[in-house]
Amino acid sequence: MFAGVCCLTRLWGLRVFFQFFLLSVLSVLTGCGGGSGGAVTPSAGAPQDQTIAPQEADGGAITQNYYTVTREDVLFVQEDENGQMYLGTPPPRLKQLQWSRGLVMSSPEHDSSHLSLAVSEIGRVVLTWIESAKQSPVTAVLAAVYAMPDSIPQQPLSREDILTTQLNNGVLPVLVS
Amino acid sequence: MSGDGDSFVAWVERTEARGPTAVHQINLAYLAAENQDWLIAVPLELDSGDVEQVRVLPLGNGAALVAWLASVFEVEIGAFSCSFVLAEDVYGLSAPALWLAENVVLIAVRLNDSVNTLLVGRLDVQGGGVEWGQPLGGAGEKAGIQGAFVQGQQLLVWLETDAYGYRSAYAAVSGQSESYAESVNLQWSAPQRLEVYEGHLSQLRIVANTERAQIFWSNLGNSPHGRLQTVGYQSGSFSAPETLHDTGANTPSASFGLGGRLHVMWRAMHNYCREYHPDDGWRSASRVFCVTPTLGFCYEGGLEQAIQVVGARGVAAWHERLQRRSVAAMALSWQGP
Repeated sequence: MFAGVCCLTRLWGLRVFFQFFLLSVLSVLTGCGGGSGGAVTPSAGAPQDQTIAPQEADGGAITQNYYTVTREDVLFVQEDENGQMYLGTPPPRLKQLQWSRGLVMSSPEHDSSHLSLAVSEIGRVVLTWIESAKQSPVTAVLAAVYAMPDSIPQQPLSREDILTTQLNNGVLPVLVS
Repeated sequence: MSGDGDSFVAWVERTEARGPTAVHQINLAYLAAENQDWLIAVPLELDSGDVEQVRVLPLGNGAALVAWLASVFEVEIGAFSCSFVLAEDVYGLSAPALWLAENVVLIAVRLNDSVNTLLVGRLDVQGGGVEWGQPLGGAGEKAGIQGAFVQGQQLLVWLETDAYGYRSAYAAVSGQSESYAESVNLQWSAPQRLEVYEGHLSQLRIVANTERAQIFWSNLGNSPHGRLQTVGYQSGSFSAPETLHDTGANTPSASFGLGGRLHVMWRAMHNYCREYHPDDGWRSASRVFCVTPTLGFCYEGGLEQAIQVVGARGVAAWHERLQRRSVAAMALSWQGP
């Protein structure tokens, strides 16, 4: 999906600014051209789910990872110990948990509060919260139950996979635990 | 939630059923591991006073304890069996700490009339009541008490305010060979201060597995932005404090995962997450993405967030500002390539 390579060298004084600038601009650019020093070269028109493995330029170890989100994709920017930055996805050795974009669980028409999350050893997820309307004293205690699949899901988390139940009869709950 | 999947949710409803004074009613919902439908329990108690700091401690086999301020209730499969008062005049702004140690329920509180002293006791779930051990003293006013059982020891952590107004994190550890099942009077180590510099600590959190405990806090220090700092406890000693984030970190939440990895999530400008790997320490921070599909910030929805990891799978939840409303959001993890 990105036609070019970003290879940004040793801009220590402007690094923080440039990182923010890079993350902002990349959401609208298809590539930023150029490239040197063995930096990552994603193929043009790559599908969004294609893994683009970064190479380790100059043998430098990756020291920082930065993420951002565009309307269509997740961008991953890495910086090695020489200050060079790359586009791509984490190399295999990182093996950190990566996170999907959040899914709204509560009603967008109400304010939520008192969040609580628990997961059992068998992968049952229970998320609870309180919803209240600004113009009404009536509030609701809600619990969402989700069973984690045994394998990594291929599809994004969907509200249809989650059973949400109102636990109270809608009279002024003030605290949940 | 218990390890086998029994789930309990407790909440307090304020009613006007008894005249002009608000009445607080504690409710409990129960979801058995093998079921899909919640069992909504009858109200636990009516109390004309304020009810705060509700805590639920699952005991296994469909039982749980519900505790608030000075009262504790035993609950068995949604039917409330008995209630009893643990201690009078408990300091209301610091919740009692409740934790399990080899099937023994432990509780730690601070009393109003003895602000520098902690009481740690063993709960008699069957007979009702609590057996208190020797008070754990110190020089400063205590709050934010939390306890854990790690490597056969009881680990107690708390915040302590000194005469100059600095608030620091302290810890005490019980003897290795002692057991609360045998005696309630444990020999505690001298309280140990966990961070080096004077600070203004808050949001103390502890997470533990059988081998290791990790303690987190937000430290304002002399900065307007809270620093997220952490100390580990393993093999009888505390690690040096490390700063995981130094610009406005709040409300850490942590969970152990696969192979002794530790995952911590916190709120700053975004939802951040870092992993501790036993072989090479803390990895760099990553993001738990907010709902808004832009570079937007998800910190405006509130300061509540949570992370839980089971094996190689994680789930995170938080509040986020969306269309002028605070909404609850959830995300799942996936393993990188």
